[in-house]
Amino acid sequence: MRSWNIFFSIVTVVIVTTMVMPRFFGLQSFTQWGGMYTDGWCSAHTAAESTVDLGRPPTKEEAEEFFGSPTTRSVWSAPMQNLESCLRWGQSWCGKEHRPGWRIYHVQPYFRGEYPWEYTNVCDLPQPDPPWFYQHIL
Amino acid sequence: MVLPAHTLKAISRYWNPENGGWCRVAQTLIGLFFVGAGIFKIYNYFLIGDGDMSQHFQYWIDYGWPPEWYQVLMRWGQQYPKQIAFGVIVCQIVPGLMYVLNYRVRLASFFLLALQVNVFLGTFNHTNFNEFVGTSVWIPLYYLLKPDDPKAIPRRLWTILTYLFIGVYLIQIKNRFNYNDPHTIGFAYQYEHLAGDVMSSSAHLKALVIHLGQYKWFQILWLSTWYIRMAMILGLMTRWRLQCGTVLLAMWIVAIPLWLNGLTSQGVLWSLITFIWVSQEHIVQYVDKKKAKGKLKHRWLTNMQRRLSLSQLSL
Repeated sequence: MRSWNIFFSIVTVVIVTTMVMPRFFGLQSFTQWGGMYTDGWCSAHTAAESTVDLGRPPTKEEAEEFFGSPTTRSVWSAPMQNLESCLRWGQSWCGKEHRPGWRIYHVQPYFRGEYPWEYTNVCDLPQPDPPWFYQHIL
Repeated sequence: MVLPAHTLKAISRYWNPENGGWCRVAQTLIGLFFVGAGIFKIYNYFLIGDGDMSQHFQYWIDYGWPPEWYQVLMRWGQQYPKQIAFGVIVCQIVPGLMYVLNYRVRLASFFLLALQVNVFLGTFNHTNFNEFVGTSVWIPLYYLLKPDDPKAIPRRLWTILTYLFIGVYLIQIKNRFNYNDPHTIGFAYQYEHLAGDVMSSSAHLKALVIHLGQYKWFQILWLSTWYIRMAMILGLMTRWRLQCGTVLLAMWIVAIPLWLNGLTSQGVLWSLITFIWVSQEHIVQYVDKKKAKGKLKHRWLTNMQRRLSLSQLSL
C-alpha cells in the first residue's frame, strides 16, 4: 500500500500543480481545467521583405503581407492560447523566412478577434529566454 | 509550509487509503473539473458573451456529423441558445460540486450523464472528439452505478465498466493512428508542432525536450509511446491490468505538462479518467487479495487444528 500511496500522491501533486492551479505555482495556465472554446486561436498579421538588401526599409509594395495562424494539424488538438503566449508566438516569427527569399520583419498578433498591441511591431519588444516557441526548427 | 497539528489530525481522521481514499481524491478532482467547465461557460456565454451556443451547434452539425435524427433536435435547440447554455452550465457545475462534496453522487451522475450523452450524440462521428466525449460519458456512468463504498462495487459490474473503458481507449488509439503517431513521419510532424505552436507548463521543460529531440534514442523513445500505449491498453484485459493502467496514467502525467495547451481539456480528462479507473481497480485488487489471504489463513488454521486433533486421537 505504501508504494501506491506514493504513486497516487505524485499523480495528485502533478495534476494540482500543472492542471488545476498552475498560476499559483508559477507555471503556464491555459484553459486546461475544463475550458472549451474559451481561449482564442492566436493568429498574426506579418509583413515580410525580400532577403536582398535594399539598404532602406521596404515600401508597402515591396513587402509581402500574410495572415497566418498556428497549424491546426492534429498532434493533439489545436493549441489554445492566452494573451502572453499569443505575443510570444507572434514574436517567434520575427526574422524567420515566410517563404524562400522573404524574411518576416513586422508582426502584429491577433487574439480573440482583436489586435491587442494595435500597430506595434512586436519584434521590437523584448523576448524571453529561453524562447517559448521555435519556428522552422527542422 | 507546515500544516497546523489540528489540520493534520483532521486529515488523518478522514484519510484512509485502505477504504478507497484515493478513489475519493479522483472523485474530488473530476468534480472540480466539471465545476471549471461550467465556470468557463458562464464566462463564455454570459459574462464576455462572445460564445454562442447556436453557432457551436452549427459547427457540430457541419463537422461533428451527428446522427440525422439528432440533427433535427440540434436545429430546434439553436432557437434557444441562452436557455440551453444555462441548462448546460447548471448540469455541469451542480453535479461537479456534488462530486466534490460527496453528496448524492448518484443523483449528480444522472444529470451529468444525461448532458454528456447529448454532447456525445452531437459529435458522434467526429474522430478527434468522440473518444474525448466518450470519457465524459464513462465517468458519470461509473459514478451512477458505483455504490458509495468503492470496495463494495459488484465485481461483474466493474468488469463491464472496465471493458467500456478499454473501448474508449481503443477509439483514442485508433484516432492517434490516423494522425500517424506510430509512423516515423510522426516524429518530425509532432516535434515541429511542439516547437512552433505548443506551450508547455514551463519554457525550460520545453527547451529541454526540444534539445533532447535532436538525439536518435529520444526520437525512438518518442515514437515508441504509441506502441507502449497500445500494449498497455491490451494489457487492461489481462491479470496485469492494474500495472498496465498505472503505466497509462504515468504516460498522461508526463505528457500533459509538456503538451499543455495542445492537449487542453481533452488530455486532462484522459488523465482524470485513468486516475479514476486505476484507483478503483487498485482498491478492488487490494480488498480481494486481502480476502483471499484471510481465507487461506483460515483454511490453513482449520487444517492444522484437524491434524492436531487427529494426532491426539491416535495418541
